[in-house]
Amino acid sequence: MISLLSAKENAGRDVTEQPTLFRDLYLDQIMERVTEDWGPEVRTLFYALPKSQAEETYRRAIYGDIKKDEIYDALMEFEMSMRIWKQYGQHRERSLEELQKQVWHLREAQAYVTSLECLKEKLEKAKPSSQGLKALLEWIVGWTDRKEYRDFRAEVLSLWQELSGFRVMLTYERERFTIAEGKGTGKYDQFLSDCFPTHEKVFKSPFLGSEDFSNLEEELVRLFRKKHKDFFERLGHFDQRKFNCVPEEHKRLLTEAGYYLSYAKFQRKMEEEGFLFCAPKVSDCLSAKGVYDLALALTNLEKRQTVISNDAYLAPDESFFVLTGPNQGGKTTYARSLGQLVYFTKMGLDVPAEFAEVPYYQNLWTHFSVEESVETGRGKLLDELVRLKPMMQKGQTNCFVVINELFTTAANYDANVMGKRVLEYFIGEHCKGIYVTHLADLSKACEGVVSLRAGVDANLVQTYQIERSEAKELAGANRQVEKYRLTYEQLKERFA
Amino acid sequence: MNVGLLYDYKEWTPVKPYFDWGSMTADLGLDTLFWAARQDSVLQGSRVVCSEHEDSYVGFAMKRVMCIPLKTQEEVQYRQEVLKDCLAHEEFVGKLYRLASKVLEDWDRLGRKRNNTGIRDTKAELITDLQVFRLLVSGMEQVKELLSKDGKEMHSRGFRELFDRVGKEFSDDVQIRLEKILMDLSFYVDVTIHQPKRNVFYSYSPRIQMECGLEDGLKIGSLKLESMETIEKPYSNPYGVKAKLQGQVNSLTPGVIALYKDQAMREDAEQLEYEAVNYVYSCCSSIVASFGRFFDQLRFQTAFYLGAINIKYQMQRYKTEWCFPEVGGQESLSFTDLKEVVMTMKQKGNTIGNDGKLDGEAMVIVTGANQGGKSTFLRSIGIAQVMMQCGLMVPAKRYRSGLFPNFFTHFTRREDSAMNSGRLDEELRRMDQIVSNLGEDSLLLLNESFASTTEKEGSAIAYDIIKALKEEGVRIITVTHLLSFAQRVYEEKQSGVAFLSAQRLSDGTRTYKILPHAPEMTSFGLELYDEILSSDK
Repeated sequence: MISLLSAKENAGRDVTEQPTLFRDLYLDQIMERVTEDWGPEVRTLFYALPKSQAEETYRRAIYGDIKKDEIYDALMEFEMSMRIWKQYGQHRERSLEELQKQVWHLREAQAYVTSLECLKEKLEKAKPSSQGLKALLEWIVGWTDRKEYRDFRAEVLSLWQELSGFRVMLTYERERFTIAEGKGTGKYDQFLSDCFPTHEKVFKSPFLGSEDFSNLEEELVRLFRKKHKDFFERLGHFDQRKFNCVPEEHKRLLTEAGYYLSYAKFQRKMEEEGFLFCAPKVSDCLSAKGVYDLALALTNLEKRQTVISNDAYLAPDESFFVLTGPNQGGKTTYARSLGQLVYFTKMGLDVPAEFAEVPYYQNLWTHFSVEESVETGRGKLLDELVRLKPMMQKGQTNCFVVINELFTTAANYDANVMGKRVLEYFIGEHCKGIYVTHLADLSKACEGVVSLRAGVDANLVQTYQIERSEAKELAGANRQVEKYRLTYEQLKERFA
Repeated sequence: MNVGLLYDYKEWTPVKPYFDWGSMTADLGLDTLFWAARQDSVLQGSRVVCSEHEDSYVGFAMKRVMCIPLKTQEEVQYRQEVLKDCLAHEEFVGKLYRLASKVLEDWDRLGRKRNNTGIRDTKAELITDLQVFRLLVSGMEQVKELLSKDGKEMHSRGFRELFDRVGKEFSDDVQIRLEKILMDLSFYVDVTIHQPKRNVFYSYSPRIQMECGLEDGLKIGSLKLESMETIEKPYSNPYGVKAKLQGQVNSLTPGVIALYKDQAMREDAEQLEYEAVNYVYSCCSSIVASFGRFFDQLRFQTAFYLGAINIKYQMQRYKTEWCFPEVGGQESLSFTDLKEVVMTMKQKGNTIGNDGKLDGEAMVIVTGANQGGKSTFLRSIGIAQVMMQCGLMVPAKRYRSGLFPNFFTHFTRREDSAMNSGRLDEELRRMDQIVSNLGEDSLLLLNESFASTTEKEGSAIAYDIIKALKEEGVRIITVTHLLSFAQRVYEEKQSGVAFLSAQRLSDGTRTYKILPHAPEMTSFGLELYDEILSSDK
């Protein structure tokens, strides 16, 4: 049995509940958009992180393939036709008349056969290079080469040809319908498209809303059954055999392809809007240029605003960023964007950055302050500690940890001591990460800590730029003119 | 279809207005211009007579157009050319405007303003849409007729291209086709029984032919329309003997489904009929929508020119000479007999005009006696600039200036004096906003700015800000009482700075003329004080 998520076992299906890091990193908002056309089945695949480095590489190779236009188009086309195929199946289930069920069944089979064939042809031409997609293609080829499939296909296509050949001319005058078999010339349609060359309207049947036959359709079907007894007999035979045309395994593979396709589609859309993505490279130390918060990018996109992007670099002997700076200065956003960087890297997908090198981390942990929970009844501090506990279990080494504002309710001194111990613990376990805090002292807590600051310009206005710098307390006085940045020097700076 | 009387390459859209148009309107008193635009005026002999009628839509259009500045000389010339054409053929413009208004009013009556969600589900709405379709097509026919009859004498590019466009996009061919479609669908709208002669009755009846398949679960699918026509048939009572006999014949004929007495089948038929008509209509809907937009734009754009004609009459009424301004380079600013037209209209009398030759002067500082006409002078430039930048004529014998799409006014708000402590703050806040929105080709009019603090402080603030702005290439005209500021600039003898002053004769009389003059340390306010107080005595 092959899977597109892992070379070994059926992975990615063991987590059905949204993990905490989803809410902390705003991945829930992002995934909402990514999977909006795919639904919860695909969405849950994003919940579980791959368990090994091999799995990450396996996924990255597949995603690398899927980003290519030919493969993306082929799979997208197949995805779209399979959605229509699903609708046919729903029609079949809802139909009341046996005869109608048979016709829908035929339609379903025909849709599957043609789109599978089309996919096979296109994939063969595109020659995927990843292990996963190669296996997929092999599987398709093997399946379509079997004799029972070939026989089935021949029967479906011949029946289909006959059915779609039936045409009826219907003339309506106020007091009567006149029915005749045969084809028309589409004269008025032609006239309309001559008049309005750009129109794309279709003449819809008013009876499509319901599965049941309308009176008119009942009458038509009655006339037809009389005339084409032979066809309906053959259709009956075909239906009785109930050949399982789409095996379960195939449906699963389709969902798994949705994991890549949904993200690839989303990425394409964002790239059109000017946001950059890149495939992360594996290396020894974290280094990224132009990292931004994808969730913020989505909200700003609606408001037609750009997002600020930042760089990140951790040298081999450095472990933890400690980020301080003014309120509303983009601290949390930066922490979140690093978390997202690691998350998407681990998932084998492209990351929201201009350029990124990310080492392999065993796991990704996030700890964001939340509102006091009424449910648990715990105080905030206790709640924070409880949530910290699983992150400090045995075996959680070489992880990436994103911590946002710990111990804000504790006294300053306590908070400093506890914060320091948390940092020391993680650094001791060879974890890397980022710690956002108000406590300036933590930036010198221990070896391996890198102090970052959210920047302000000369007028104490937030720049949202994160840079390496000593933590410091805020100061500054405003005079009226300075407040509006209207002194000569300030103006010069504004114009520069 | 574009109307294109305002721009040659696009229709009017409300984008990139002046920054803070509200303040500009208030500072320059532009409401009076909108009032003038609304006054329907005619010439009787040499006298201008205003009719009782005020068309508020014309004022509205003037306001909307005026708040979006033109950006190039070509754009200004294009509009001026159209306006000249309109001034020469006032009646034609009026006709065109009234025709568009009439069509739009009829449309409103058919229920245009109803909630248009884009989903039509009832027969009644489809019938309304078809009526609108008919209305707009007949409106287009009238426009075409009017253009071909009276429009021959219009020579501006705007009008010429409009004629060509209408002739091309609503060609006879298109017209015939649309009329055919309307005719084919008329059975759906026109359900009355006609009586051409005594005892002869006719009604419209459809004949729709379509082709379909059954591949979608044996339901009617892949429909194609073969024919659609409206047939005039002698009317027969559907419950009469004749109809009954015909119904029986039908039900016995193979391949025919009689609808007589079969209620359920008749409902199906009605749905199918609706869908077919809706399909044909939806093919036309985009052209109908484009006609709708055409009339909206036509009404709006002709309203602007009508407003311009009315403004011209008001100027004529108050003996204000006007001219079409020339667009010069960014450094140019010169004018002869420039008048403040808003004040003229308000005071219903002639005002003093000013001459100016300020080419190359990046900064103009106006000082001088109180009540000497400084603010009036500043406003007259502002108003003329706004009028020029929307393609209108200006109240001067000659006016030449560059185009400044980034045009700002910063006037003291005297009405705010109650909240004295916050006033400087408010002024600085407005200045901050202006600075944030400066761009290329900026023009800033300052009237008594920073007078809400001490002279010394105000001068320092003004000096700093104005110096930085000037270095940034912003053109500044400022009226000021901050004499230490003016003196300081004067002593620096910078190039590109002009000093003007309200003229005051040696006996203290004010002529309201603004002339080149070095700044003096007094604004002769004391004299005014004496004057007022002595008259009290």
